[in-house]
Amino acid sequence: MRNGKILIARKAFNSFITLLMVVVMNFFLFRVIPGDPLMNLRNNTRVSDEYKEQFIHDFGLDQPIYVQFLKYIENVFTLNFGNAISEPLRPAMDIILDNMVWTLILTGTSSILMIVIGMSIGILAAWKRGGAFDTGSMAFSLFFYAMPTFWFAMMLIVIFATELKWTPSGGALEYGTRFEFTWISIKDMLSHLVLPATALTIGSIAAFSLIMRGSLIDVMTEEYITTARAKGMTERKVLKDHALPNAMLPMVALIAIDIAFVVGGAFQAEVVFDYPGIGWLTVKATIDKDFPLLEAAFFLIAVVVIIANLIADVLLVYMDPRVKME
Amino acid sequence: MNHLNYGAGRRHLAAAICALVLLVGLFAFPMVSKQSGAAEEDSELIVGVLQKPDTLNPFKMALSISYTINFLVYDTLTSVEPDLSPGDQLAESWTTDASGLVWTFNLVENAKWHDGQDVTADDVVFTYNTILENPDTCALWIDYLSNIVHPVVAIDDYTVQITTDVKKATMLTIMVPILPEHLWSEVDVDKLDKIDPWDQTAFPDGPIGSGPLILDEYDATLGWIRMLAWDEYYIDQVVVDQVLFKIFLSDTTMMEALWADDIDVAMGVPARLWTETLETDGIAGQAVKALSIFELGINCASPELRENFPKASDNLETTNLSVRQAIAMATDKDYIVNDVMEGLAEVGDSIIPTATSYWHYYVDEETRWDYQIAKANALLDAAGYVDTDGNDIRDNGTSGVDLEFSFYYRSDKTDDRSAAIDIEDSLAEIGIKATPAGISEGQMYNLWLGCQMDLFIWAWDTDVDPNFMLSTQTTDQIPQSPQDWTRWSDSFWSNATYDRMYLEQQTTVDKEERQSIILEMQALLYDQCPYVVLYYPMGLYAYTTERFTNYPDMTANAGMTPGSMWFFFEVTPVADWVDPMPPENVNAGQDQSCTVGETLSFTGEADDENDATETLTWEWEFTEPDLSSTVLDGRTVSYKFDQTGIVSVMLRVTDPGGLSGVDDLVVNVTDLAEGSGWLRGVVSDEDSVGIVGATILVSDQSRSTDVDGAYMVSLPEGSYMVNASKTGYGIASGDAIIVAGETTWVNLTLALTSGTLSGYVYDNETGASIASATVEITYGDKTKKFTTNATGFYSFIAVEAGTVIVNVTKIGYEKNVTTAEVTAGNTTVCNVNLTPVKDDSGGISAVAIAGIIAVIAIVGALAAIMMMKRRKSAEPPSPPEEPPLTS
Repeated sequence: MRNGKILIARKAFNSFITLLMVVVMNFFLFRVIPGDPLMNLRNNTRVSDEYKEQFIHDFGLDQPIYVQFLKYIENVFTLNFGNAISEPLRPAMDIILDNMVWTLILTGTSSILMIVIGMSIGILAAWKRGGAFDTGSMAFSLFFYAMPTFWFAMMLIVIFATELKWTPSGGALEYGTRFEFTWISIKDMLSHLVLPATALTIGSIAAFSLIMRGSLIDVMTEEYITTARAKGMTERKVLKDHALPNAMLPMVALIAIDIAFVVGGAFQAEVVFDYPGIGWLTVKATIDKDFPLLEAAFFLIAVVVIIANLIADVLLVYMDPRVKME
Repeated sequence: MNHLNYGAGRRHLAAAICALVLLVGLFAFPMVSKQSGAAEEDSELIVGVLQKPDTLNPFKMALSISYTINFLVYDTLTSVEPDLSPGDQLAESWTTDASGLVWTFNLVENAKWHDGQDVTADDVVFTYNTILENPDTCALWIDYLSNIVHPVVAIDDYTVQITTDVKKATMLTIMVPILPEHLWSEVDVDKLDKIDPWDQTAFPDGPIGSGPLILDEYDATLGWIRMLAWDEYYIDQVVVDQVLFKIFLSDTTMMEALWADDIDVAMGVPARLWTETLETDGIAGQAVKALSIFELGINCASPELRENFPKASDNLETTNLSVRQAIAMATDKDYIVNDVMEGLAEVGDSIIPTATSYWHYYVDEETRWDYQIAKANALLDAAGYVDTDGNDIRDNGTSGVDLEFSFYYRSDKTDDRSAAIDIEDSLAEIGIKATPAGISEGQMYNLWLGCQMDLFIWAWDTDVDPNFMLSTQTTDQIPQSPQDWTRWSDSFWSNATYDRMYLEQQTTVDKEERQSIILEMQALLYDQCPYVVLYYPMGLYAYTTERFTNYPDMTANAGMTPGSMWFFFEVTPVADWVDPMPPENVNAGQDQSCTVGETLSFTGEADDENDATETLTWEWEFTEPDLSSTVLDGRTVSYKFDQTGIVSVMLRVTDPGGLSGVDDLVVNVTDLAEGSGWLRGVVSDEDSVGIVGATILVSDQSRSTDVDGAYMVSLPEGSYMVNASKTGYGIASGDAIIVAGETTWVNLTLALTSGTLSGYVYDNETGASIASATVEITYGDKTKKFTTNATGFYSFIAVEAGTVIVNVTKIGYEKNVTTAEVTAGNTTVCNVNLTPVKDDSGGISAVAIAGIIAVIAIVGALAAIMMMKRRKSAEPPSPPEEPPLTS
């Protein structure tokens, strides 16, 4: 166990170093993107030169780069990144958190669905390897995995929203309404969630089902499985007690990686389904060179991803005794 | 080999089925949701837009969409008319004194803030003086108020006086929103540009303006802005109860929402989806001249200026006027407009687009540089540019520098790319090499501010007043370093005459005089070619026609687009709409003559596409030679003429919506000639019922029968043939012998040849009646149209007996063409059922069905192939592989 604790401490330290590197990279990376924060103003002929000067001054863009960097470091430690350039009266962190809620609803739902469905398919397929279910489900999940998400998403809209009019074409709620904890509002939210969650889930099931299937097939050929069978255990018990726990190890890493997707948002689905979320927000912020928004978003995403990976590492330490031996 | 555990397998299968049922169950939700959302009482127009406001604080907003929203909330002193010319808003009139420096604005007296308080001169004075006193926090508006002397003063409650230190040409285009003093005076001046418009302390009732719409709610995350109609607006009323602006992340998504009926209006339809959109049932659109230009920019930076830019392009040949003019001549703008833009643009000339036609410089045919390769080549020859090294690129005869230029366009704009490729080909024909490179708009900014682009395709959104666009080409606007972000000149062109004229037009108050200076400036730009303006794009707007109607004619009035108040004054929910079509073909009859004491009858005729004849109001006005007049009501009236001379008769037909059409005739009244007698009679049908409005023709006289079918006419002694006729009846005639001083009676009988055709239009699925369906009937060479009323009813009278083709159409339904047999004298009922388009086809188009079948087929085929492979590999059967036993 002592080995395990040292290992966790080492991983935690590594995570901290990674986070520091991300923090520093974030500042410089965004400043080498071409363009300037006043780009959008070209589309508005009414803005005065005085306004532009004031704007640049308010965001500290007229300061030397090292002053801006020091200010940024201060922001990181106070978790106050200032107001967004694209919405100069709203704190960047507020914008991100408001959008993060919707991202978590969409990508969280689809992640849970894809993990549950993907793993179930993977287990069934491995168990009945070579059978009709294995062949059919693998063909199904690979087919949709290969299909571009945006195209599949648009097909869903054309069929279910434009033609059949069963679902709304986009948005997170009926236009002009806000979420409330009422049955009508929840139903409305779910109806808007159906298409984007379906697109994301079906498109990514293969990632989980293939790895689960492969991992389980590997495990099933291990000697201890044969031993278990030889001891007269039922096939179900062999699978449940011996095969599955070991086959789950690669899935833990995969789920940890998926956390990045959950907080990072699904930019394509957000755009096609007009769904609020962090994905499109960060892409738009990159185009607009919205430094405060980018810095806050990437900091938050980095923190969550690093923590998720740390948790995965810790879990592995406990789930797989071999890790401790390394 | 594994042994299957069927029990566990079934449980897994059950779990999978449960998951599927969950998914299917989720699909069921929206059907409930959509229906529940439909039962709204207020009419709400949903407008799709593609930009998100930065803020709705009127001192901080900088994006076009923020202006669009806030100028519906706040009024300005003067505003923009539907034709984009300056017009009144809070100021209903204005004067200047003899010096042209003192302006007096008279305000309307019935404007109210959204909280019910009156808008007065104090509010205008507060707004203007606050800006003048706080140039930092009010930097957004300070340019508009340049040259205005502080303070602006209120002469009385509704009169404002503004003094300027020089004459100010843009005084009537000051787009500064007037704010309520009673709220904004409480805000700390340092926080004017920082306060949230929904700050509860400063604005307990939310943002308060005086414009036609109230800003109700804005959800920046979900991307919508709700606005409510302001009932007490003083110019006109927004017809719908609410307007919801929905912000979309991409134009494709917005169009999908329009096609799916989730929004009503789409602003900024992409050209690539325009045709498809117009072909969609229930959607119409208009291509409107936009305040926008697309240009081929040319770098004119002088060698000295380029020294300030370390990465500046070192090819100075674009500073040579002949090279720039040759480039202009080699640009095929017609091709770009017709082929690249598919006609959804106008060929460009000057930097002021044709949407603001008063200020636009129309280049005359002689001066115009059409696509003339030969002339361009000759110009370069004359300027000493020849290809000395045989590389097919001309070079400067003196320095040897090739005419090889860097050329950029925005990579995400496919139209720019196509235009760039065409320009590259054209330039190659005159020995100029310019290979276009697509870059992001961000990179474009960097290269511009680095003075690195020789040629580029870019665009501008222009203003109603030409001042700003003209300013972009002044020397003042040339960036002086790569960090000089606040200036606008991307051509780096400098011209002292232009700069002088720019300042001159700013102080020229006389509109025509200013226009002539501005045209001259544009002529200079056209000649000097810092820009080769390629085209003026059309703004594309699409909208549903099933829920809303009466969309304004934006092509005729570019200022009535969906962001303007004029648009919302017009657009009406279909249910509330009264057809504005007045009665047409109003006919009072022919001019007549009669003798004193005679009574004539008149029967009017009129068509109205949307209103039944019986709902029309008929009004006859008889004006005697002594100008006394009498008004009679009814489709058929009789009038006795007691004075000799010319009597004018005017018929006015009015529909239930209050719209009317008129026709007139004159009656020449003379004394009874000597030797004349009277001809009288009654025209009746086969049942001896008098026919009203039948026409009697005898000699050169014509009469109309009165409500009893009677007629009367004076005639000289002699024998006459009397003819009677009426639409829907046959013709009858009789002989009359007139004896002086006596009355001869001739009664005539007309046989009916027509009937009435009427009925209802129903929905085939629900059985509900369909309002606003178009019923068109054809018989012989005649066609008549009627639009069904709210109960789905239609009616045609005087339809000739025989077979009538009835054609009924309505958007969203399949056309139904049927026939009806109309019999003379009877009313034929012809009810028509229409089948909804979607229900009939199962609610899914052939394309979608084909798509689904294709997907299923591909999945099936893949599965089959894999199954076959598996089976193949399984043959010949091999014994199960036993795992090696470990000891």
